[in-house]
Amino acid sequence: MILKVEHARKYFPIRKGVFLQVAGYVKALEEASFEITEGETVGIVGESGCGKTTLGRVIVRIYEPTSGQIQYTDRNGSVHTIDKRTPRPIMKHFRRDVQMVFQDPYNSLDPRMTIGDILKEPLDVHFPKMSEKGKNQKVGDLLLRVGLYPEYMNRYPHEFSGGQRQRISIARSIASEPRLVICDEPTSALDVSVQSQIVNLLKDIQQQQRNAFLFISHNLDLIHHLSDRILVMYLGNVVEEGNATRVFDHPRHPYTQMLMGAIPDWDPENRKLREFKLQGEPPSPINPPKGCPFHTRCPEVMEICSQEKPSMIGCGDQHQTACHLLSNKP
Amino acid sequence: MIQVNHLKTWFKTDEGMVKAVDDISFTLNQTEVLALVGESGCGKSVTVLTLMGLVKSPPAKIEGEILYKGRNLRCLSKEEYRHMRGKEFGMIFQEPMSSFDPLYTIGDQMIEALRVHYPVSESEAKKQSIEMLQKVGIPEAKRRIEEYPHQMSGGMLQRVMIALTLSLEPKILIADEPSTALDVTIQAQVLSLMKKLQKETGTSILFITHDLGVVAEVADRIHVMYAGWIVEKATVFDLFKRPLHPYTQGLLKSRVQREYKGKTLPFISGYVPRAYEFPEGCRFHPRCPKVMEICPKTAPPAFEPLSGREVKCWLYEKGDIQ
Repeated sequence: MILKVEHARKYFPIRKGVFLQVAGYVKALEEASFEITEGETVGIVGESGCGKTTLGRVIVRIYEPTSGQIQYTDRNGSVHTIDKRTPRPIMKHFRRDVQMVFQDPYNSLDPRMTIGDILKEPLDVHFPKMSEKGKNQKVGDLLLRVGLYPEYMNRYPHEFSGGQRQRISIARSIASEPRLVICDEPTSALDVSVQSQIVNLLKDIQQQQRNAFLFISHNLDLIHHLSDRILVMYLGNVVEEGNATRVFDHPRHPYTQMLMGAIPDWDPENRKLREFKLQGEPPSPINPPKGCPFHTRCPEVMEICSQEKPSMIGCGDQHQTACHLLSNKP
Repeated sequence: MIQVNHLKTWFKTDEGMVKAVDDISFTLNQTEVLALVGESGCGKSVTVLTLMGLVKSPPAKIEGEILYKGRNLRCLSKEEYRHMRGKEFGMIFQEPMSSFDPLYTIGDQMIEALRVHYPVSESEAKKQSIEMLQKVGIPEAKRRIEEYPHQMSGGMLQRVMIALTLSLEPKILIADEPSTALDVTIQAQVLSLMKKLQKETGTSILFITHDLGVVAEVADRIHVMYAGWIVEKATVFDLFKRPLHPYTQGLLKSRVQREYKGKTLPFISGYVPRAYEFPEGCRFHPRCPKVMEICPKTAPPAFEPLSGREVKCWLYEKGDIQ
């Protein structure tokens, strides 16, 4: 195991008035618990505002969680709780082991640094003993690994296209030889014909480095392709979790079923959006509904749904869903 | 309805001449949905802007003709064009959030648009706007018409934009990536709404998108664009059944399909060229898996290997295929 997230929750305060008093909270992430083990790929899927990006950012501690715990197992097998009080040396190991690739390759690379400098920075921090020559050699290797040329070292980010920049971002994230790479929508800013190149690259890297991946995306096809296990999120909650193929073949939560029904099929002879049933939009995370977060849009809503929040229930091999429909069945 | 002949829109920049749209011709027929499909930088948005008379020339160099109701739109005065926009050509933009004025209520903006084009009183315009909002599925339209754009979600605002555009009863609806900024479940709602309204009103739609999944759902005919050219024209059924141009083939294959799990995804090598450095000859040849000797040298004309199909590729020079 590399990482264990327990009941992670993140509320952002809304401040109002002259004295910036807290007037309420945006409940971006309500409840998420899961583990990531060595070499595994976990996908998080959901629509905008479901809390998937917040969850990714809570894990790398760009955001401090409101409550909940993150446990990290280092390379020697000892377990540490990652919070404000975590000693710096452990934090440094954690930072080396958990890296991130961001969505927008235009904003995530410093325009005033050369590609060489960008890739050398993690080496300077995590391998201070490495010689300058060794670092240059390593930067060249990294560029080759992601399908670029070592000569690009002296160029600046603006000289590259979106797909090439995303390759540079990926090279930077694997420079410290992390055990877990978190990718937040790594391909959604790219053109369709370039997307598959990046997806293939990420798969290749995993085969060589044996690192774990946490993929965050709204693209269900992509999540299915890349992940061993997936988590479906809705309004800050994980509503379904399980083996990727299983969840795709037998989605149990009504939301997951709707989400899958909304993907166009690329088949003009079998148009399906005309029968699309899901109406309305997700409620505001400032005032989430009581009970099940999905009950306001659920086609199979029952009386209990607006009163009691369902908890995760097993529904077959490595498959869990939070839905009252299942708890009522024997 | 509208016929575009040999349209060129070029921009002069420091890097050289950008041939954003380079000699394209197409026809939009009555009550059909025509999709222009392509990746970023292929010229689909510039085509639309030129059509709407929103590209200033000079500095841009525009050639060719745009025929609508027997007139060449390129000869219209600024004032005449302004009357066309909205009433004849309705437009739905990609970003609903940035297309509305944040300082006015959506009601103000809908009423203004109506009264610019039609001689109706304010209260009549308001009544019509509320009806239209109800039609696109805005709950409590009477109350929500008094709201400001920021009080609505993206999907809701896109519905308002559709309501505003359609309330002017345009003959042609131009939709530039209308669902790209929306979530899949909201996208499904907006697309099925557009289809429903199109059936009712009989408008022709020019649909601009990069998403082939969306195209398969809504389009009748497809024109695939690449680097300023239309490289393939076909009906939606033909194109998905049998794509002819290697670029179209690559695009269709690049969908992440279930069967690929655990395997390498098929992909188109290389990158989309930048607008000021389009390659000589066929503009797709550096990325083409079927490149031949002639491709880098001479640009291919449009061939017609099958009836009703048009493809700009040397592979089909020999003529008919079975």
